[in-house]
Amino acid sequence: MHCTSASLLRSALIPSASRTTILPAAFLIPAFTTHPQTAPFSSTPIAHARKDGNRARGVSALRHTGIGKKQKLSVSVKDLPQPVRDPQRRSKIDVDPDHGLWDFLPTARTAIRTPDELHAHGRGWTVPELRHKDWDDLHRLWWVCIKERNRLATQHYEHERIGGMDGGSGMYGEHEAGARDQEVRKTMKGIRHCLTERWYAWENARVAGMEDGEVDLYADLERGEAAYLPRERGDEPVFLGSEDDARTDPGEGVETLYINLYPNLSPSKDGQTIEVYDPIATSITITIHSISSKMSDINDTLKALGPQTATPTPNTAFVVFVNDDAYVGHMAKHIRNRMQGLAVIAKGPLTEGDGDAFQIRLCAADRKVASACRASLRRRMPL
Amino acid sequence: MAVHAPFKVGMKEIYLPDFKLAFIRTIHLPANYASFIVPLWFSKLDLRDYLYHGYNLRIGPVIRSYVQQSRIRQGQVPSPTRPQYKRWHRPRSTKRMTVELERPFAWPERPDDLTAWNKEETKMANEEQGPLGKRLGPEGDQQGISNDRRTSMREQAKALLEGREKWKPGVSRGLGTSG
Repeated sequence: MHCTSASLLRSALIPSASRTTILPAAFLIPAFTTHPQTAPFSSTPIAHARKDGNRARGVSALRHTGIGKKQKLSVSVKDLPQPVRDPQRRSKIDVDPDHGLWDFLPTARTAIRTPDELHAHGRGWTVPELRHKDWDDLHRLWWVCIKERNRLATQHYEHERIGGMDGGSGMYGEHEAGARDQEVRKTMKGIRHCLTERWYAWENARVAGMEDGEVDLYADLERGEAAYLPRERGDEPVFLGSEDDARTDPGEGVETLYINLYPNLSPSKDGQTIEVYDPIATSITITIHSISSKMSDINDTLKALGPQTATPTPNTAFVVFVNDDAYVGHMAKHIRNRMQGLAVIAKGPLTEGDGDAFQIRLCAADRKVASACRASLRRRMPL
Repeated sequence: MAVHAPFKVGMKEIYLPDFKLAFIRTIHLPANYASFIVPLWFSKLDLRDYLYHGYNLRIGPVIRSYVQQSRIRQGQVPSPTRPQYKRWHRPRSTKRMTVELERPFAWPERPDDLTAWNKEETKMANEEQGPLGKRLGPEGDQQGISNDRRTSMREQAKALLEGREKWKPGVSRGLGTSG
């Protein structure tokens, strides 16, 4: 206000009993009646409050605020149903007899088992008993064990709630439950053990099948592919002696060679002499004699060979044919003992036939000669 | 099962599970809710799958799960005979899950008569053993001696001094006499 009018108005507005009121002049009345023009000093736009669209503002079920002013329910508050606080007055619930949760409770459908009921169990399954069972049975048994353990865990907590924690031991039953649980765990351990054993057997078989040349693990049996493809005996030399022959036959400087012969060395060609050449060593002569596997025959043959066997030339080999069933190692040893020098024993059928293959086991007293003979024979007869 | 599960089943197949679930009675919840104590690493999806495939139980869409941390305590579990001080530790937490059932399940009533579990006998035994344990414990010196025991000891001492009775070894400390 203007200072002049302010001072005038102040004297007029402030009531004072002592002072005589000074009424303003009549020409000043419009100053009080007409409203003064005002304009807001600040140019900032005033922020008006936005209309709150949230009808549920301030309403909380957790804070028990009750229904909001603007909320309208389909049911009025006084018509809302009240919960039955007293458990005795509540309606009885019909539990489905096939409810899945019954499996967590005792079979008798009580809250907990008595110690006698808990004690009524046998021993767990042993590993020899479980070995007879197939995977499906073992899997089912595992789940039976799991459900029993769940039942025992449920029993444990319910036991505690009922009275198990009263000042220490409280109630009997925990020890029996523990013993029952232990038997269940033994069964589960046995199941795992059996399955592990089976897996290792399968794995070993699989590895052996992969490594075996005659087995084709990728064969499609439905399409007629064969999983087992036995190789013909003629393809490779078949070692019918044992691998320990070399060890059990401790001949010094003994070398054994398994080679295949072609029909050109059939036993019918008795007395046939072939010559094998070795560029390093001297040539080796192989004389073929065919006899049966009988010892007497062998001895007769050796005797007949006479002075040749007694003091054979170092480069002479004798091929002695024996039956298939003969034990080559034994023969070799016998002949080697009789004959000094090189002895060659061939196994094969005594009848000639095309495509017959024979095997030669070379027992040499002299390692050098044996290796030379082997090299020559290889060159002579492609294996 | 010929029927497909009412939810998307995971890829990992577990044929031989090795954990246990405990079904807990919850009186504060309605009958169509069930609560379980599950392994700490369990998830809601695991529980839903387990209950469906193991127990043929279909549950509502929402599972509530919470982990209950245990208080710090001292000693070992199982507790040895002597009290173990200074071994402060926090035992493993418990995970509880609450599911909504399709059909309600009410627990059977708790047994009123606890004779089969020898509740009375164990209560009596604990009441008798309580003072004895305190006497044998580390604060045994602080336990008071009852007047009956005092008079009994006085009489025994008198009998020994007067020669009416002869001292025999073999009675261990605290046993054979009531406190």
